[in-house]
Amino acid sequence: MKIVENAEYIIQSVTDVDRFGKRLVQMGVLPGSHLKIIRVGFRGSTLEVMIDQGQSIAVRSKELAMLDCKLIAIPLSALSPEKGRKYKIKNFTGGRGFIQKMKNRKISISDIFEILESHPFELKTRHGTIVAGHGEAEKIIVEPVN
Amino acid sequence: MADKTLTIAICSIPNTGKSTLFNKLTGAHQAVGNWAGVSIEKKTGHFKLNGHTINLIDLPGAYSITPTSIEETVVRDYLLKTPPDFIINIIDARNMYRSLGLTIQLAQSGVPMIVAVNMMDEARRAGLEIDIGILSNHLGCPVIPIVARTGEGVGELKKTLLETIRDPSKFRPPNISRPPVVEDAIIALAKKLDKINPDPSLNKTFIAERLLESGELPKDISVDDNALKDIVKDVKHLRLRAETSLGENLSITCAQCRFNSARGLVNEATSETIKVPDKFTKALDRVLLNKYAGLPMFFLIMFLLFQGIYALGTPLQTLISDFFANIRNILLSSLLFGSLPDMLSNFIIEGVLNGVGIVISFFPLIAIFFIFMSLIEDSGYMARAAFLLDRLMHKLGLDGKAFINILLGFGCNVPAIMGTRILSGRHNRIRTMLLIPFTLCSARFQVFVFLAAILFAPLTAPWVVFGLYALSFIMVFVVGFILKLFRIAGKPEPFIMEIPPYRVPTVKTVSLRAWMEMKSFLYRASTYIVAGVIIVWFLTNMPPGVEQGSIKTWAGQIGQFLQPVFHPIGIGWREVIALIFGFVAKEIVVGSMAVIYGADTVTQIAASITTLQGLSFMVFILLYTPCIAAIAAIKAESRSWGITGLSLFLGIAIAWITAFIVYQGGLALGFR
Repeated sequence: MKIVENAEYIIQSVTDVDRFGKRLVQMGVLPGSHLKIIRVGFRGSTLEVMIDQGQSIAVRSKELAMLDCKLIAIPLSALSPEKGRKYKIKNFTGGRGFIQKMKNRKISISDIFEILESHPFELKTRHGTIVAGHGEAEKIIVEPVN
Repeated sequence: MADKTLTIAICSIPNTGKSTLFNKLTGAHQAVGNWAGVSIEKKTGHFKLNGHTINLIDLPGAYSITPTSIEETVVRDYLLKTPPDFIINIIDARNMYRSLGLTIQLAQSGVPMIVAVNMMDEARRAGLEIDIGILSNHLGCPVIPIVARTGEGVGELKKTLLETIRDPSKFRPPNISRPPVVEDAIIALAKKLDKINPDPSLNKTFIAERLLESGELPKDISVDDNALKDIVKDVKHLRLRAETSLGENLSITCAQCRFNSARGLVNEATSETIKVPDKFTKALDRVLLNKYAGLPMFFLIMFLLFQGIYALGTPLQTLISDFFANIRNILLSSLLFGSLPDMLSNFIIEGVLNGVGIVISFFPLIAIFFIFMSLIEDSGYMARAAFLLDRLMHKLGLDGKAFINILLGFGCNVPAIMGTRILSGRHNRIRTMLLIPFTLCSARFQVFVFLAAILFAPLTAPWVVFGLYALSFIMVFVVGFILKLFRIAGKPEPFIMEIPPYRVPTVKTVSLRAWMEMKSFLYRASTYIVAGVIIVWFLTNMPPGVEQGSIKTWAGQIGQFLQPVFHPIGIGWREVIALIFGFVAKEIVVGSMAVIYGADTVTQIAASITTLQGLSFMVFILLYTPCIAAIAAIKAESRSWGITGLSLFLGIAIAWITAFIVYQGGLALGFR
């Protein structure tokens, strides 16, 4: 489980031995619920996570990582090249200027791509190879394609 | 209709204003005890309702009665073993989904229930409209909108309660849909339970669901043991079948069913459901929770807080001690007092008046401390601070909130210990409580300033005091790590902390909190403190006819008796007497040394204690037992003599070991 800001997960299942998960369940955060990582604390051990009702909770990354979750959104910057692995652009967290810049580079929402290189990011899309800097990659939210 | 005595339990998830409503209903008629077998506070109270006597029980906050914490086990066991006549359940109007999981569970219990939707004012302000009629219809019980803080709707709640007492038959448990395999299992089990007839006031399906979820019921529940054993076998079989067919744990399926109903109900009863954190909260968090600026901001806020507490608290404390000095003078010069035997007048002044004076001198500090504490808490910053410091405190097996308590211990241990109440879980509370006494509080600081000035050169003295501060910080962590090796106060609970949006605290809630804390300090701690002061008075003044604080007193004899123990750490019998005085309050260590050494104290001390002995003495004072008010607070908050004893033992043992290392190490290095 990648713990980065703006990553989103869906809880898939909670096992009998998972005390953290069981407690979440009794609080109404059930399998099928969304979790969005809002903020990663100092050196990554404590996280602020937004749950379905728009409420923020603080949890520890170690406990969260034990949860059986499915990745549904992650900033491009957190990914590394993997042959054959495809992703789809979900949205941009930057402002209007950033979206225009991406448009000029022929990157738009719903585009499917493969990562060729990660420093800087080289993406293989149907328009050819597109390059994005690390700062830009932080603002590009993508989801894995099966 | 004859007047009845009825038991009503208030039950809700944490942070819904449960205690506020409890206080509103019972006023001053409250008693505090422990739940059987666990050191968790049990608050009970009573009030009159049209001739009926209502015993109100404040159950601990619980997210559900499928327990995942000690508090939740207490609630489940209470409901199953001794079902109350009525339940008052509170839900948070701002986030009903979260509260409704428990509400639905309780509504199915068969115990008549009234639901209070609290914090209606804030929901209205957020533009949230709630259809109370729909809620009441679905939950099958009366639902009353209230604002517990202001008392709005509480009259209506009482009126409805009275109507429900007259006619409880209106109550109808809600239906929630479950997968057929679960439903069948519950029905099959309920039928079996019908035969052994447990408490008639509880729904059999409710008991059946509890059994299926956890596979066990609390011990000594009012059903025949053998019959229950028989049923437990069935439960295993039914559970296995349901879990195999569903592919997941049954308690999770049951929670899912409950919360699905809750979600549907919220959608139906409210105008909008999703609340995104407001822009203000987002913007402020960008600064206060910033990866780099967050911690410096936290320390700045804490620094200002400290300054505030002392700038306001110390003059008030001086004012109070001056007041008591005046009373003392008036008493001493009064004719009536002069006619009393010396022993008695000394007892009244040095024992009783002193004790009461110490209790009252804590008042301004406690009031200001809790005003600041509730400002931090109510504004929503406490959760942020806990987020920032969690990494550090997790190393000690605690969560971030504990850091604030420990830090505030450097001001005064007593309110810091009382403040552990806001920590989640007994594990956190007890461990933090055990660490706070190792912080260098302002009273100890006074002793160190006095001693360092006598024993060290003017340029070295401030560094010695600074060194003691550093030692105090280090010892908090050392003891924290040591405690982590032992299992005290149960297992740590998973860390899940709500981060609320920022809010402007109201003057009313903040002042109410300070007032309640002062009252609770007075109620709980004062008896121990006055008793402690009186005991020390006896030790240092008895047997009759001896000079106060001399070697002939009981304290002096104890000092001599303990000499072999204190010799290796360079502490003489006179200092042992001062340490006994210090048990009452650290401030009086200096005064007691004046009594013990007699005229020209400073020169006497400088002549009879070496620098190294003085250092060892200061280290011992820093770490040995905190003052009696702090110990009384530990007893009141931990609700356990064992923990109080452990705290005393830890303090003395660690003080001795550290002083031994300092003194013997110093001697070995050639210091004296």
